[in-house]
Amino acid sequence: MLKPVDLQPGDRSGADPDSTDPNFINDWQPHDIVLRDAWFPLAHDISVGNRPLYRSIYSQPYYVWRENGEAVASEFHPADETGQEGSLLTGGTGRYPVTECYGYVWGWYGDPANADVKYLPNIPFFPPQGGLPRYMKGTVRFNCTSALTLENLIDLTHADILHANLIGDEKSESEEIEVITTSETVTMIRHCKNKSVAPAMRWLGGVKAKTQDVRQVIHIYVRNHIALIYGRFTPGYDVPVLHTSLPESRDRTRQDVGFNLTNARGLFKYIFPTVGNWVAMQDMYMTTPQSSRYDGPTSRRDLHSRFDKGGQEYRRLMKELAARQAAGDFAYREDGIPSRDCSELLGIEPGLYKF
Amino acid sequence: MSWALALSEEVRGDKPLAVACGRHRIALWRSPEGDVYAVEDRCPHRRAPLSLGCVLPNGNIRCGYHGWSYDGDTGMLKNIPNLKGEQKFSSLYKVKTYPCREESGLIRVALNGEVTPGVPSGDTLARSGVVALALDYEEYLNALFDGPWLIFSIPGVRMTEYFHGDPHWQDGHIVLKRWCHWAGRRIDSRFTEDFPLLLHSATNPQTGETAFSLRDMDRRELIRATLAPAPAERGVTAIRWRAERGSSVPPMRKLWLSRRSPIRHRQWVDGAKLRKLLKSASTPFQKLRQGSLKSADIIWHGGFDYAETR
Repeated sequence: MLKPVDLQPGDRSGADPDSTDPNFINDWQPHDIVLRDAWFPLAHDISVGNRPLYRSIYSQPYYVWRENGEAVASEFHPADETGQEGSLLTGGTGRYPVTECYGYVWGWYGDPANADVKYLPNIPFFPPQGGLPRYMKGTVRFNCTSALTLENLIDLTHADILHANLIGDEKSESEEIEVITTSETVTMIRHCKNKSVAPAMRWLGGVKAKTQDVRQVIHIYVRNHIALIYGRFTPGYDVPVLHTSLPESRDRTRQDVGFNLTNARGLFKYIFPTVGNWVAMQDMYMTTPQSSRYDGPTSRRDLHSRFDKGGQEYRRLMKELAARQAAGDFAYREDGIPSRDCSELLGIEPGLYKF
Repeated sequence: MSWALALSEEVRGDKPLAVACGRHRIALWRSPEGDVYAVEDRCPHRRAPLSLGCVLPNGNIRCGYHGWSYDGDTGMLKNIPNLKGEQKFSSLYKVKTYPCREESGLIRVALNGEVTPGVPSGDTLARSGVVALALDYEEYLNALFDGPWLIFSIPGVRMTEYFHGDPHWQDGHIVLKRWCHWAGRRIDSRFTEDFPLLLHSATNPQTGETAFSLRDMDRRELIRATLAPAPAERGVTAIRWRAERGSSVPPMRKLWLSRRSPIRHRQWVDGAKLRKLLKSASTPFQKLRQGSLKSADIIWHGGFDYAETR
């Protein structure tokens, strides 16, 4: 008899999802949504050694360490493993499926029989074997539910206001938003013409122009709570960021962020990851008080603008996935296999990253 | 359900101790044999507080007004001094008694039913204290989950806002783990990859009594503490606490920790900080707790009477 860990994910708010209901996306209680059968980045690979690290996914404990150089993840501290019976999430063995890729140790949350590396999210700007320098990696902890950090991210108009002093203001000649979804991903592509140059890029990256054309992509793997951020700045250079959002609990999120700034110039390469911490602090300023306001039902609708389409699609897809999983359908559909190459979608020039 | 309403050392064999839990006023005392008794702090004769009386050499409690004395076991009236030799009383002549038990240096009183064990703490922890905090009992419990640093501090340790996993049931208690830093290191907890300390808490859902255990990443126990809050009069929460350093404090930290009390319970709460404390872990805690309280058939009267049952 295995330990009765909750293997019935879905929307725990008890709401009956009906995507045709015009209020579908407003009935949004992200704290209560649990999606399983997905890979989650537990730690930067260089952080994992012989001493166990302690993580959790949806409050389920994950101890991570190395045995003979291989990363392992267990429900139990290694000193307590003997004689322990694991939960359904490990098939009773106590050990989770684990893989290493892109500089991260990934753990599977879900039925271990369904674990397959083909469900690992594709991150085309990171070397699969890892190896990016330490200064391009960091950890940020949000006092906020994971889904809100991603919803916050996919509406990049927040960046023009909240991060104006670091990333640039809202001034541009034109701004268009395009949103593309699959059964597992939401992608928001933002085109800005003659946008004010990001102060960080001007002062640290040597871009002297006053304006630049910007193509920014936010590509979210919904189940995995992962976002790829890919910015192409002309004049300037590409800034790719991996934004992980490990849902450690309903209201606390761990982000093991990664940057590949090998193509950036000047001090920008070294300092931008630190600037990322400032950006995160500015986000926390809003998402921390915001989070508890979504933790519970309300009859009051959120208002939306045309720039919120990405966020709306994110809410819709998350709820649809939750409904599917609550009905027992955990399969990935063909259009949403996470390991499919997304370079073109991100706008990466062929050959820019050679691994 | 039973409440830890006094420290062992507070209850003496000569003078009763007055305590309160919700609307219940209780007198506690100790017999010459060391047994602890709890009765309603109200003499059935003229309603005088029995706690203003004394304990007789035979272990009975005596009202300080007209001298009526009562047996702690049964509550039966045993003596009216002026009656001299006619000491025979109807069974109606008794004071209400409460089952009580001494456990881990705390006196537990059952306001209804049997005395139940408190949070697991084992031995009597050496250091102790009593605090009356001008904070509503429910808000006290919420603050313990959302911002325990507003309630108590651990010298040498900085609690963070980041807790590990949601509050959950474990062995009949609601358990939460909170990450901590060593104090003195100016590390921003928002950008910490791995914390050095983890504060485990196990809370009795009905009384709010909470056992804390601070451990390092080698799982050595550095501090043990128990906080036992109870709703007192006028929105005040009365807290009895006990604490002790673990036996395996690393040598480098021993000096620092050994000079101080393992915990310091605050005598007042910073209202400006409390007002801004956001709800986080208290939301799932209260959901778990409400389910538990409903199942225990607790009737709520304006959130004050925690002890009445149907």
